[in-house]
Amino acid sequence: MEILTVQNLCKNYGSGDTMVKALDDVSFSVEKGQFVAIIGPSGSGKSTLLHTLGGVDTPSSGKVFVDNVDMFSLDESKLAIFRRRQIGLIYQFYNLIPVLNVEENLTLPLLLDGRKVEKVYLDEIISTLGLGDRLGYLPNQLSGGQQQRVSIGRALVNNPALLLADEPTGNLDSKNSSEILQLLRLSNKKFHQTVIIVTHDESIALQADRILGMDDGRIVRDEVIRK
Amino acid sequence: MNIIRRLTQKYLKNNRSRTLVTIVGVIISTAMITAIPTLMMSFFRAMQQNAIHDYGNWHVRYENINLEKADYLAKDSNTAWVSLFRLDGFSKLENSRSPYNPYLVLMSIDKNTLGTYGIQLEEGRFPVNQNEAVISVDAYRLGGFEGKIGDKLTLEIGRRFALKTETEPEFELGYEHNYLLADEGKPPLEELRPVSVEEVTIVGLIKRPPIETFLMPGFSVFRYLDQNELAADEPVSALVTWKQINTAANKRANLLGKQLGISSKNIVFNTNLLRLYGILSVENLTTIYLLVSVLLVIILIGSVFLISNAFSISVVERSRQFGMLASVGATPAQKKQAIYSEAWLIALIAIPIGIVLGIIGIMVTLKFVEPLINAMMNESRIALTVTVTPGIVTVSALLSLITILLSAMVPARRAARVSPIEAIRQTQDIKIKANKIRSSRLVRWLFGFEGDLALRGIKRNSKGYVITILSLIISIVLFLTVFSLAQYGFGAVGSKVVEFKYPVTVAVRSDASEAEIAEFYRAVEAIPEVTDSLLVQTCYGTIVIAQNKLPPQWIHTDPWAVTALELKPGEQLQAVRLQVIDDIAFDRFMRENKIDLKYSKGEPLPVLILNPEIKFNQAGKIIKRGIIAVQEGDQFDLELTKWNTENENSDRYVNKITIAGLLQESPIEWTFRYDSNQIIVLTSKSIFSQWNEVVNIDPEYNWEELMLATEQSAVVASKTNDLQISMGIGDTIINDRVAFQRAEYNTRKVINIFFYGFVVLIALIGITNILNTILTGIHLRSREFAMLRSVGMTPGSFNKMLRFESLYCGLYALMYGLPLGIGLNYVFFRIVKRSFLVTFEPPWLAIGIVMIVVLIVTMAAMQFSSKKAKQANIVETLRKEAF
Repeated sequence: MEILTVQNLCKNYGSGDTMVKALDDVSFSVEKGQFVAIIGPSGSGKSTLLHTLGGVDTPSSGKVFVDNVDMFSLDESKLAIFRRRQIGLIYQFYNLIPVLNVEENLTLPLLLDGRKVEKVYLDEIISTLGLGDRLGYLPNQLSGGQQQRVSIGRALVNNPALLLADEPTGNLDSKNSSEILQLLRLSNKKFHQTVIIVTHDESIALQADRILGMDDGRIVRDEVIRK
Repeated sequence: MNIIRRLTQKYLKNNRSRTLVTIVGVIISTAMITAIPTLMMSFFRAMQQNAIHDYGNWHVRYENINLEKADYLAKDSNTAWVSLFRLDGFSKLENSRSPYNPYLVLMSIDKNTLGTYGIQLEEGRFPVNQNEAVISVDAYRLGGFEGKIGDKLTLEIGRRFALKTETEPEFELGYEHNYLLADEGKPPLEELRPVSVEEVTIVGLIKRPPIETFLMPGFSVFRYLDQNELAADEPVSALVTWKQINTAANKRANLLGKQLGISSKNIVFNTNLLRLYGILSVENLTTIYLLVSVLLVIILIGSVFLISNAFSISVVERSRQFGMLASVGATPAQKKQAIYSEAWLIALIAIPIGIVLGIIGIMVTLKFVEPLINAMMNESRIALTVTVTPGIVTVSALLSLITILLSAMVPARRAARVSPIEAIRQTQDIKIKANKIRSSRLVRWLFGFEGDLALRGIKRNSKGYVITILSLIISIVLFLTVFSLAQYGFGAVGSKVVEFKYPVTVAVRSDASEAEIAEFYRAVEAIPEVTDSLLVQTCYGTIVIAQNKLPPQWIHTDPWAVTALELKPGEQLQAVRLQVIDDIAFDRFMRENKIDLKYSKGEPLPVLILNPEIKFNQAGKIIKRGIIAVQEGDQFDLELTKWNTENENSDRYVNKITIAGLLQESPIEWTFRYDSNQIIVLTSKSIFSQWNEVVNIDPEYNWEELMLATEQSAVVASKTNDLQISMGIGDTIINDRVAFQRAEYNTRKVINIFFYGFVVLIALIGITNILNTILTGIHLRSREFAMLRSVGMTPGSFNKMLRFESLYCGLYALMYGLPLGIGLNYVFFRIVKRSFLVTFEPPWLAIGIVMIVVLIVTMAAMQFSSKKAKQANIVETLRKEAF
């Protein structure tokens, strides 16, 4: 089943002579439960693509369907609601809210949605991420790896259709990096999540099911390495 | 609790100092919003107390009703109490010394009325039955009444009737109708028709009651009105005092009257009191309402800008938070809510504190002001207490809340627009136009590269500067307008007390004979504290004068004037005030001024003319000359008039006068400034009477005044008063000009305290506003600054750049703010002109203050924030990832 379909996606910056094509007619689709890595050099458009898939950046033209919903046909409020229910975002710099403790940060999307926390599911996430003894801590009391685990937990808590990660290990040492990656793999398996991760590190990309290579705003490589 | 609210709370807690600044801002504005209507209400309350003192503490009077109806009125739910009152009639006061007060006015009142009318006992006791009475002390003081406490009087009591005339039929007169005094030798205009003869024992003396206005044709005598002795159909008046004083009560009072079949002419409202509650005629209050509303609007605008700034800062600081929230799916409404919940939280804390502080502020102010106000009101003590009504508190709270929500509106919209991607990149707040910028050579030459850089920055990022400059302008305009208010509201920033040579003036108004008055004058002059005296008799006459000899503002035409004088083209009739001064004073005055005024019988009357120099603009040229272009030796025809009772017309006498000398100053000091369009001429009593022996007019004096020189004006005034009573002179105006002036001075001082206090508050708000804006501006640019420093800008250059910027902003704001402020100053002038005599004058002092303060504050703010910027770690600031 296709969970994500991208059709003729374009994103331009500037106009006329100075126009830059960050995304140039990108089309692809992703099956539910697939672990995809987008790889490419700096400035190839991979982060723009991820942000667009996450609905936090808007394309110049083209369409994105997540779970058969045309994301950019939604108005701003509906898009925000759609995002918090269907998409989990993980950033390189975690983007946790410093005044909220780990548990609050984890459950933020649910709280914004005004929904009750499903205790069993949350406990499962917490134990999977190994954050059980850190729930009352504030983000600045955690290490980088721990913070990134919280942000993964936050992305997972709504059981979204799509988990997007932008260089999730870019700011971490190799030990923490592999831990985070394993977690992402684990959640992909355990919660049957569709995961798309942006990286410039070939070795990380090789752990995915499928690799999309980008350059100059186009997809230049698309290979399934694992079924 | 909602997550957004919880986040907001945590943000506020973590940024304690910023939150505190915002809260203080809201407290200040709430306090002012509360203080102004509270002050207004407190003054109204004081005015109401004054009106109650003067007119009685009742709201509606039903006349000519019986006891049954009075009972019905008393039982009404809005009636606080009913006072019964009955006019029993008038009794001739034999040998009254006061021509307009020939009666004793007999009235019966019950116990309630004593309080309602504020009747105060001076001696003896109040009556307890119909045969006992208290009498107004003015019956003795002015009327020459001679009865003592304990005396039994037999009074012939009657009703007053205005007699039939050619135009009007006969009608009955009440106690509020003045005595219709007939001219000498003419038939009387009113008549007293006896009804009964009654015996009354005087048991007490009362202070002149407020009901005894100058219109009352006599002096009050109050008897006791016993309800039990009142016959069922005997007419009385019922004075009703309401519980709730409002328009509904007014309607209800009319309705009650209708139910009881009382005709509307018998329902009389206490308009002097009710209008102070905004019921009935409110015209006189319009100026006050207008000023208060303008003030409130100014404060609201100023506050919105100030507070809005604080929220803008918060949006900027929280923009990453908003972006992050947005990326996990916060809707625009939720982002807006974050700012609004901040607003509500701050409102919840600051508004109650602000209201309480505002009330306390007024309380303290009034405490200081009360003795000053009471010092200038000798008789009635006015209690200046803070009046807080639930209405004021509600309105103030609502206004403050509106202010805060309005302030949050624009920042909230900005917050809603924060998109996740923008927040992640932190690019929203510096939007730079890439167009070409021309920079001025002058700037480069004066301020070097740094000035050039600053100017480019300003022009590229004009939006950020617009906010800074706008808030500067608002502060400037606010300050200037409030200063204007102080200026026009109550004039004279530095009025000082003038030394009077003759501080006490005495003028007899009663019909005492010339011999009696002369004796009274001698006695007054003999008071030990009196060091010198001056008797001035004034009569008014007319001369013909060429218009080109007069200052332009005096020129007029009066085609209907009745005169025996001949007018040629280019001439006009001019009023002359002829002041005749007693010989001793006049001779001394001549000696002092080295004037020699001789007179031999048959010559024209020699006069000194008061002709101070004035400046005026004629055909574009400034002319400086005496008010009237005359010289010594000029002669005029002076017309004096005398009323002829036989043909009911003025006899006109025309005689020559000679200008014998020009004076810069008059020996007679006026209490008020010399600004009437009258020529003032002086002569001595003996010259005037010698002249009069020949011309034989013996003109009427319109006014006669004895002026007394003394060091102790209050003592002389009170001794003169005693003499007037003991000698039975009757109605006399004794004016202690020192006391009057002191009272006026005190009033001004009081009001200046209020207004300048307010000016200071507004100035503080303005300065806070400027500081806040500039600090925000710099905060927003911290990355830019870090970048400049990272590429090697020295602290010296950095300061230079900021100095240029602050100078630029300050001057720019002054350029727009000053004309705007002066314009508003003019608007205020127009408003105040409705009710007070004021002249328009640009507020130079305020303009000077504003210019200096604006430049200093902008410089200081820039300096302060640059210091902060310099302390920041360059790399940290540049990355700005620590969030």
